Amino acid sequence: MSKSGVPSQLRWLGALVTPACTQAWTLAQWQTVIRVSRRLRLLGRLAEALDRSGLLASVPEGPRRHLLAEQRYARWRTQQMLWGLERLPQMLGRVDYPLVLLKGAAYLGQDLGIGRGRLPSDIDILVPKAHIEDAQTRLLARGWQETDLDAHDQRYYREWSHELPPMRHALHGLELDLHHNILPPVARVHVDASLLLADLRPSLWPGWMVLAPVDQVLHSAAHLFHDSDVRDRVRDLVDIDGLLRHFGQERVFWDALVARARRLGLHQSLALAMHFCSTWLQSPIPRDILERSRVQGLSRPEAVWLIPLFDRVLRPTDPDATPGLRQTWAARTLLLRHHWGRMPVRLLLPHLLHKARARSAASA
Amino acid sequence: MRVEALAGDGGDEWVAFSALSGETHLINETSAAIVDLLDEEVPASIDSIVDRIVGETGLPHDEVRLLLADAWELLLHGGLIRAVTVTDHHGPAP
Amino acid sequence: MTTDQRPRPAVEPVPGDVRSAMSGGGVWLDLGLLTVRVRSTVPELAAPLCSVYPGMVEIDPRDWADLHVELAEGAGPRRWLRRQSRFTCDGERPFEPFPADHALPLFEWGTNWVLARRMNDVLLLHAGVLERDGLALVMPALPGSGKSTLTAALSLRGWRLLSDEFGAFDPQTNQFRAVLKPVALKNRSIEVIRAFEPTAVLGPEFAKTRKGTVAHLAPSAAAVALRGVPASPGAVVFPRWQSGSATQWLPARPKVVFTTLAFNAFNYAAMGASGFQAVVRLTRRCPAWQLIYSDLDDALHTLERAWPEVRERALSESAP
Repeated sequence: MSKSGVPSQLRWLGALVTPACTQAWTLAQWQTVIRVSRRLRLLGRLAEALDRSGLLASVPEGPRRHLLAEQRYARWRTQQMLWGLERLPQMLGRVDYPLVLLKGAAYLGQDLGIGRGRLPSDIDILVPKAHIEDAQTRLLARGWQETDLDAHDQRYYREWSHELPPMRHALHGLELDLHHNILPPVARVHVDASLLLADLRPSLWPGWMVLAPVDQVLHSAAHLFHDSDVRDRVRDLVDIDGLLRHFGQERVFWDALVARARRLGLHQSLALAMHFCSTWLQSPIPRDILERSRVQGLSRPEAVWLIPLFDRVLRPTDPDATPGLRQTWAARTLLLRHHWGRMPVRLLLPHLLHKARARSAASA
Repeated sequence: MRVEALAGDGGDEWVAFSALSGETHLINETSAAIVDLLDEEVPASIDSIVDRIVGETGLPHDEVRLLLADAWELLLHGGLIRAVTVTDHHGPAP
Repeated sequence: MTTDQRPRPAVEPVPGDVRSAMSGGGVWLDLGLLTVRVRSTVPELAAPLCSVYPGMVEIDPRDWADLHVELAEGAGPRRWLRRQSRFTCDGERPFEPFPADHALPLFEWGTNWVLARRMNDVLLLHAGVLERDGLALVMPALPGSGKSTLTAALSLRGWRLLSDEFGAFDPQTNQFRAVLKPVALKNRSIEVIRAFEPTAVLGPEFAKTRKGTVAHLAPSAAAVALRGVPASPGAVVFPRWQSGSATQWLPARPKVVFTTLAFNAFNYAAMGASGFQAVVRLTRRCPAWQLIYSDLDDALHTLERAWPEVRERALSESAP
C-alpha cells in the first residue's frame, strides 16, 4: 500500500541534518544534488547547513560556487524580510492585540536552523480577525498599499479566504500577507483561530509572538496537504521534520501534537505529514505516536488513495526527465481535491470560471 | 553601514550602503556628515545632532534644522540610521 | 574556471554529430566564467550553434556543468502546424515557447536569463567588456547606445571580447572574467557590421523575434583561446550612437559611473556590501568617458588613441 524507504532521488536530504555525509559525494552526485535542491528551493539551506558545520570550504569548486552564490542570494532576500519586519511594529504603533509571526519569519524569530537559507518573497503575519481591519488601516497610513485586484478577487479574499490580499510597500516593494487564520474559513476543515491565539508563545524578538510548537507543525502540515500544487514541495516536509526534531525532544510534545491535531480538525494533514517525514526524512517520531496519528487521521480507503497520490506528486523528478503523465494526472487530481476542500460548490464554480477567464485574458 | 566618497577630493559625491536595508543611496555632504556624526556608537537625537553642527559651523539653528529634517526621513527609510529605543534616539545602522 | 581543465577539442565536431549528441546526453560549452550543458530535441539548434560558437562545442562528456539547459519540442494540439521550442533550465522556464526555427535566439536569451540569476558568486554588470593590453574596456548597456555594434566592431579590430552582455567582475580577485557568447546584433547593426568587416562570421538571421531581426557574430579564435584569462579594470566608456554626429569624447562624472554600474547590474542588490565595495573601487580606479559618434571607424580610432592614457593610469594605480 504505502511505499517504504527513502526514494533514491531524496537520499541527499540527509545532508541537511548531517552535512558531513557530503564528504563522500562524487562530483556527479554533487551535480545532481545542486540541480535538484535548487529546483526544490533547498539549495540555500544546504549551503547554510554546510557553512555552519565548517564544511563549505572543502566542497569541490564546481558545486561550491553555486552553494556560495545561493547562500548570498538567500541572505539578501532574508535580510529584506527582516528589515521589513523590523519596521512593522513601529508602523503599526501601540496595539493591544498580538502580532504573530508565521512560517519563515517565525523560524527565524525562534532562531531555528530551518529559518536559514530560505528564499522569502513576502512576510506572513497573523492577527486576530476582529483587529485585522485595524491593522490594515494603520499600515495603509504608513505607506503600505493594497495590490490592484478586481472586485471579484477582493471579495474572494475578504469573504472566503483566511488572509487579506497581499499588501506592498511603495518604498521597498516587499509583500505583506496579513492572516487571521491558518486555513480559509470556508474550507471543509474549519480551524478555530481562537484556539491558536489562546496558546501563543513569545518569540526572541520583542513585540512578536509565535504559534505554539504543535500549532507550527500543524500549520505547515495543513498548508502542504491542503494546497493546490504540491509538486516540488518537499521543502515543507523538511520544515516539518526540522520542527519535529527541535521540539520533539520532550515526550509531552508528541502527545500534545496528536491531541491538538484532532482538536483543530487537522488530523488527516498530520497523518500524511508524519507518514512522509518518517519514510522520506527519517524523522525521529516515536512508533506509537506514528501509529496513533495514522489511525486517527486516515481511514483505510483514504490511506489507499491519498498516500500514493501525494507520493507521486511530491517525489521530485529526475533532473533530466520531464514530469511523466502520471505525475501530471496525480497533480490534477489533487488540484481538484484542493478546490473541493476550499470552497462550497456553489462558490467554487463561479470562482473557477473567473480564474479561467483571467488566465485567458492574461495570455491573449 | 558604509559611506564612501566617489572622487578623491570628496566633493559632493558620496554613496552609502546599509547592510540592514540592503539599499544603496547617493547622498550629499550634509547627509554624509550626519551619518558620520552618528557613527560614534552613542545613540543621539536629532536635536543633539543639530546642536553639534551649530556648535561646529556657527550656522543658524533654524537653517541647520531644516537641512537635517530633509535628510532624516530618507536616512531612516533607507536603513542608514535606525531608531534604537521607543524614544526619539537614533544610532548608526550596521 | 571549470573543475576539469581539459584542452578544447582540436577538431570541430560536425553539426550532425552535435545534433545527435544534443538529443542524448548533450553537448558542453565552456564560456569562461561557467560551463553550460545543452540538450535539445529541436533539430534546428545544432547547426546555428556550431556556427556561432566555433571551437567551443564539445561532444565528449564533462563531469561538471554549471547550467543544464534543455530545448524541447512543444507539445500541444497545434504542434504539427507550427512547431515550437521551449527552454527549460532545471525547472525554470523564463519564456513562452518560440517558433522551432528560432531555437538559437531562444537558447541565447534563455541562457542569459538563467545565468544572470544564478551566478551570484561574482558581480554581473550589464555591460560589454573587451580586453586590450590586459585591461578591460567596460561599456554599460543602455538602451539606444549602440553598445553591441561597437563591441562587435572592436572585437573585429584586435580587442579581445570577454562578453557582450555580462561584465563579470570578481570582487575577490578584482578581475573581469569572460562570459564568452556571440555578440547579438539587431536590425540595422547587422548590415553595418557586414559592411565594416565582410569576412566577419555571422550566424543565420532570425526575422520577427521580439527584438526585431537578430544575427550573431561568432567570437574570434583568439577570444575563444583566451576565455580563461581575466582582465584588470581599465576604463568605463558610455557609447551613444547619434546619427550624423561628429565624434565626441567627454569625461563622465563619478556619480554617473557609480549609478550606471550599480543600478544597471544584474545582481548588484544580491551582492550586498561586496557589490557596493566593488563598484566603488571600479568607479575610483577607472577613468570614464562618454563616446558620442556616428562614424564607427572614427569611434574606434578615438578609443585607440585614449588607450595609452588608460594604460598609464592603470600602471600608476598599481605602483607602490
